[in-house]
Amino acid sequence: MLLNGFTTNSVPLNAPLAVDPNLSVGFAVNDHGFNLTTLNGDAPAFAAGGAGTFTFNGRTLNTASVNGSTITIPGGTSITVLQNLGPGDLLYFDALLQALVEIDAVATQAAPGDLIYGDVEPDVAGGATNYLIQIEINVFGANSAKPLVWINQIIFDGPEAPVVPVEIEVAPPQDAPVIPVEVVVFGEGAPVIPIAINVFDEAALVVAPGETLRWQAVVILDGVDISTTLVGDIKVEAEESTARIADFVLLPAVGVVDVTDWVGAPVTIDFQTLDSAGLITSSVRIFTGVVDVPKYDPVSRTTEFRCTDNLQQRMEQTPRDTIDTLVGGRWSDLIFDTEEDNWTYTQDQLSTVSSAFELSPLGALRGATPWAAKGSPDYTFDEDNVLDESIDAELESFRNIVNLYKLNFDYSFERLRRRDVAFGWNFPGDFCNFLESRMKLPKKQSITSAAEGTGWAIESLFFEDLPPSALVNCGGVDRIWVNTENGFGPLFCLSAQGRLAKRFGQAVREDYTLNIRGSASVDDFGAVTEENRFSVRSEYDTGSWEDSVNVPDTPGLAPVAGGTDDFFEDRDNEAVAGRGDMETAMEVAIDVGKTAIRGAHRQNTVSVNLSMQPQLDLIHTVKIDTVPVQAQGKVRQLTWTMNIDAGTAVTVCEVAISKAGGTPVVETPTAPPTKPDTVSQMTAALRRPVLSTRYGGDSGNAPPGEFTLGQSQPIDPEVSFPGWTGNLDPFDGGALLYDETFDIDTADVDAVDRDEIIGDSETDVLVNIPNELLILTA
Amino acid sequence: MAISFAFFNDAGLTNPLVGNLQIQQASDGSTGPVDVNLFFGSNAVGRKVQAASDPGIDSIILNIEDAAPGSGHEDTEIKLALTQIGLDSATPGAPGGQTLGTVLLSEVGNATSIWIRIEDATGVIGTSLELSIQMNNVIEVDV
Repeated sequence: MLLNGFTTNSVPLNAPLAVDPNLSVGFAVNDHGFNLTTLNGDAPAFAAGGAGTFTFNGRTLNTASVNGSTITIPGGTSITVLQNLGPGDLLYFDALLQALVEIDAVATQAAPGDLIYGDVEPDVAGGATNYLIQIEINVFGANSAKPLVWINQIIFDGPEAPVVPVEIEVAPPQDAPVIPVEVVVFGEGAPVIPIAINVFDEAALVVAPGETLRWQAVVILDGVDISTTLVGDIKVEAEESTARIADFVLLPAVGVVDVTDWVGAPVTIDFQTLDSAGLITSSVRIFTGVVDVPKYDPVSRTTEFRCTDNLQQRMEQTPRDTIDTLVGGRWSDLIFDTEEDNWTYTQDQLSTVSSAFELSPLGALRGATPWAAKGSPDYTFDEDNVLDESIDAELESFRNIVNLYKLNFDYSFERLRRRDVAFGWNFPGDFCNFLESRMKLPKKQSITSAAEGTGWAIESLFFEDLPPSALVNCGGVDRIWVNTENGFGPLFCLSAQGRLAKRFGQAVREDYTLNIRGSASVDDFGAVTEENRFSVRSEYDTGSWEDSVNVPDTPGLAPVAGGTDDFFEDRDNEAVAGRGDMETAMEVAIDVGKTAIRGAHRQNTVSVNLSMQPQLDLIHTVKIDTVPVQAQGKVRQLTWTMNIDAGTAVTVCEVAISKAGGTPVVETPTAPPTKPDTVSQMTAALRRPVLSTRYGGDSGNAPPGEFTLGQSQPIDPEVSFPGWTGNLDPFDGGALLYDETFDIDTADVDAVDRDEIIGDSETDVLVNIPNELLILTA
Repeated sequence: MAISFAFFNDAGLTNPLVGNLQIQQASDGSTGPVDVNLFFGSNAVGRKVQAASDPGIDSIILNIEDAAPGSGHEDTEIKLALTQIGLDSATPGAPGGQTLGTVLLSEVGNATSIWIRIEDATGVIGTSLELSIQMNNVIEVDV
């Protein structure tokens, strides 16, 4: 028997195969291999014990055993598909009969161990003695879209030497791979933000003359109400653009005190008013923060707490886009330091807006509050509210009133320039003059070398070659011209025209002076000046420009006005400090100046002591309406002091008042000024070097002048001569000879074209300074 | 097991919201609207939350809940948005909820900024706890 795809070491049938209509061939599948069996045992019969080694595709399988009518091929490693079959796989058997034998059975679903068989019939029509049984087995895996196929052929070579070939084709396994995914759910929930809306009664905070405010302070430290263990003052300070601070003193319970446990612990302080029955009539939060420093006093056995609302840390952890929204200022990495943290970034932003920024009493981020007082005050306090003799007005020092902020801002960039030079040389005469004279022509290579020797790039170079051999009529006389260059290429020329180009860079600096002026204040107080300077440079290396030889390929260059051969391009669009970046930086610098002026003019402070006003905040505008002082401005600072021992509660309120004399002005919008003219400072001229001709070897004229058509030149080899220096051919005996050369003088690029160009611009920027209410009456 | 995602007072996710989000308003309405910026996120590494109803498909939504509709404070006293500017055009009461996305990732830098604007409309003195902002049920899994 032969297995197609397998070879066996001679396992012959031991007897002629009788054509038996009842011959059946079975095919069994087990878990590890397959058996080929004739069911009736008559034929084909194989020699018992004829074990052999089968190979498939070069791989050796386990030893096969042949016993009687059965060939067993144990499950070898090569029949991997069978080995892969497992319980639950479905096997579909299908047999095809080709040639002379038919197998009837099949197409049934079978399990391992099932047999499939059919009758073998002779090829009556052909009368041949060869028989072929071909069995196709389709194996469907549980997840197979297509069957695995074995085709088994059993070929009977006839009664004399029947051979049963079996062909087994193992198709690549096909499957629909599944990746099992394990999802671990760490938790499930529905997060919630519980909201407590505390509506307080401002009226309850007002103490009528002669009445005493009943109040209590509720201090929660790390979730524990410690209000009853506090002694002395509870003090809360809120100041513009700084962290809110709270101090209180705790008398801890007896025992070991570990103050470090409280560092960073959350703290809230509420001020509550009470009615005569001790019921809460109003509750207002005045502090939300954390413990900064607890300090234990072993003498008094008290612990002093310094708490902060942690503004700086909060801002360090706030994204910059959020800070942009909250503060609403400007920022440029050309003005400020990019490496700084977000707190510094916040400060940078604040320096460009006339606003203050801090957290709310509840510890929440909120937008910046403009310095300017509202038209209508949020609160008005008069003699009934202001504690006796507590009012104070402090005016700003004259020397601090900066009203002219001089901003010097320069912007530097590179200007790329290209200069062209056109030149031309012609033989000094016509072709007949050439024929009738001894004057030699320059070689084209000499002119090319001369052009290259200038150090300028050759943009174009054209030559007039000598004409081909001909009979030339010169003044009625025919002259024979024989061009000896035939076969050697045109070496000489009658004329040459060329264009050279030079690249070079020129630094440009725009000097801007912006006089940011608080005009009304300047009118009143005279100019108090502060200066600041910023320099911005657009980074561009002109080396690559000057070194490039590809001069003609310079798109985008603009011609220099007034000249025809000079071109330029400003490199002020670089990634680092392009003009857009510079203009943004200038706007930032302008706003810094405006803010500095407005800030300097709101250093007037009116301070009053009030009965406790817990609802006051830095966002409020307060009006002080008393006889000696009338003022209205934004709250700059608040200090609440609640003395538990004495039962007093006082609020110190400081109001910032912006003052500027003179007439209000319309503020100049923040925008970069018009850039100064630096283009017209460039020089440009038409440059056409004159190229002449001179010859040595002429003894007739000294200085020689062999020809009269051109200009005669003295024979002085040391003197530079732009053009063609040749010799007569043949030359006069005894006459001086030149070293024949061609020279092109392009002239150097003048220093004025390389030195930095500076353009100046001076602009006035007007700042409107709020002039808020402040009347002091003696 | 609780999820690691929570609401924080800061984008750095160092200061979790503990207890109630407290808002105080003067009874005469002079305080005006109060804006609060909270951040939803987690410091756990490599986690995400998705709507439990259909993870990755359904949206994670914040809704304003009123424990006593028709009395006291109403949900229309609250606006929700993802930016402070968005609060100006947000609809009071956030009908339909404020969508945060279908997948929210853990770790600082992925925190979701949420802006809340609250303005008392009652003028009734006292502290009310009837309003809250509720997220739909979410599950936390590995990224």
